Amino acid sequence: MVKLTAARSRIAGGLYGSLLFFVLAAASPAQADSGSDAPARLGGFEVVLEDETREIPGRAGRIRWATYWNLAWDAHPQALAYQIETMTSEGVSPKLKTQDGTFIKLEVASGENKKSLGMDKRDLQIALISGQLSYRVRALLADNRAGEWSAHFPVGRIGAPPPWKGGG
Amino acid sequence: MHTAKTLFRTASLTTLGSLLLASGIAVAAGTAGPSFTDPTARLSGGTAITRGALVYIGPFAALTAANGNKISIGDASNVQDNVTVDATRGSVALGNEVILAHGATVRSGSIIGKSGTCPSAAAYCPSFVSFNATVDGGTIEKDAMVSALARVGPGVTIPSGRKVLPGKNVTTNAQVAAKTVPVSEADRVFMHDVVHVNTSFAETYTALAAENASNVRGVNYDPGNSDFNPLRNLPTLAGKATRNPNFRNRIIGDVRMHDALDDLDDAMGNSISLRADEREPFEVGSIASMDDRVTFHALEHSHLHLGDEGKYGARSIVHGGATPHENTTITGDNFELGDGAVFFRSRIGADSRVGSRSVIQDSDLPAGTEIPSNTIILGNAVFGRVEW
Repeated sequence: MVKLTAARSRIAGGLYGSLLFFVLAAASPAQADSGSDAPARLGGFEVVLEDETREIPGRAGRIRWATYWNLAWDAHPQALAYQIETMTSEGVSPKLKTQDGTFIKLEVASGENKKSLGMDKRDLQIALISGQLSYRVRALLADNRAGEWSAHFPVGRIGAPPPWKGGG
Repeated sequence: MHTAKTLFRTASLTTLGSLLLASGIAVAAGTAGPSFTDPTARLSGGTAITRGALVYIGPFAALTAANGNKISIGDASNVQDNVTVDATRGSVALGNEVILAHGATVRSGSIIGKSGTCPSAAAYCPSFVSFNATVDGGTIEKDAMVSALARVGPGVTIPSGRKVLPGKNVTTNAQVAAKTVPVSEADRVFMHDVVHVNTSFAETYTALAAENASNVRGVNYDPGNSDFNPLRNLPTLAGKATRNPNFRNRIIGDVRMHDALDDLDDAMGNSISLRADEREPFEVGSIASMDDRVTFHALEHSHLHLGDEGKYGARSIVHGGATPHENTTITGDNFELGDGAVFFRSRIGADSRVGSRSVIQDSDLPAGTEIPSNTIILGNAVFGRVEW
């Protein structure tokens, strides 16, 4: 089960942002290891597309904008760090990345154009990247142990594409 | 639970992509290591073709240097299955970390990944030419991309940081702005990891061949022994694990086909590469017909599940990847894929047909779908036409 909500907010300094939330309600909260053999599992995953738009000083009527894909999860109480695996459409990178934070933030679209065009070609850029790249995450624990891998989260995608209406 | 406020607060932090790029994690060029050329690749030109370290040249790639012209390939570059590089009327220069994806064509006078700039002033960064795209005497700078079925004409330069949209035909520099979009951080992470996957192939296929040269011919093992695929597998044909180095096409790894080798011999053309060189199997129903230079490829954590009585046109490509259907790319029975068409990370129902030189990407299409030729479908929507 998933929950989809939208929000829009304004940030000081002429920066506008909008967020689309895709909350994976089915994901369980982070589970402590609790001394049992149960592997640590991350939970509380949220996937968000975040837009930022700025007016360009000295260039009236033009904007610079970017869209970021954010994946965040709840901190696991026993995690020393988090390990990230990247899957591309050409294969899985043999390099695992390690980070302390509980989020991934990646630019998936950007542009500079007339303000009247809005975020020109934004959706197209996101469609092109969607599914080309995905991440999964696990907790790194003490004694060189690791938790369970999460599901894969395709970069750029916050839900199924709209249904096919024919055409071509 | 995270909130919008929390996420906005993080907006000023360095993003993952720039962290990875700045850390040098993904840079492979400049690293010593073996290169591998699949024995089915056709390299014509002798010493006029040079390659650097950790280069992977896939099955049935065709590289021709003639009339005093040269082909140079830099470190950590890859020339994937059924790529054509033609240097008969002018040299072709490929820099470091150049990715030529399945079915790409690079013609005389093209220069890829040699000029331009990299993010964070790095010395090396990838450039990318996608499925069945053509660079026809153009220049693709470092950190630039050409999407599937696009074409870049003679004298045109795609500058660093730009990506040609699918199916576009860029014939003048004046068209570049309108037919490209910025390369994103996500694109850069994607390209760097594709470089890593293929440099890993250069090493693991070299090891596989060193054990027994026949291991990299015909119907045979995947290389295994990589971080992402420690095991080796043989294809299964009509329920039987099969190794046949003498078969004219390449069927690699855990490909599970309905047909026996004799059936495939009848239904298949030549220069076909069905490559499951990562751990996950893919399942291929009976083949009604498969023309020359077809490529199937899938990767770890993704699957292909192709129905019975499939028809696959010349130079067509079926490629796996992340999908909402348990990462499986699915075609129903009696599916027909036209010449030069690309079916990528999608699902389509039975009795469907995709016309020649069309691209289906990240889509879910019902049974009986008919897609005309030269049509780009992205995320269940018509993006446009192939312009050339």
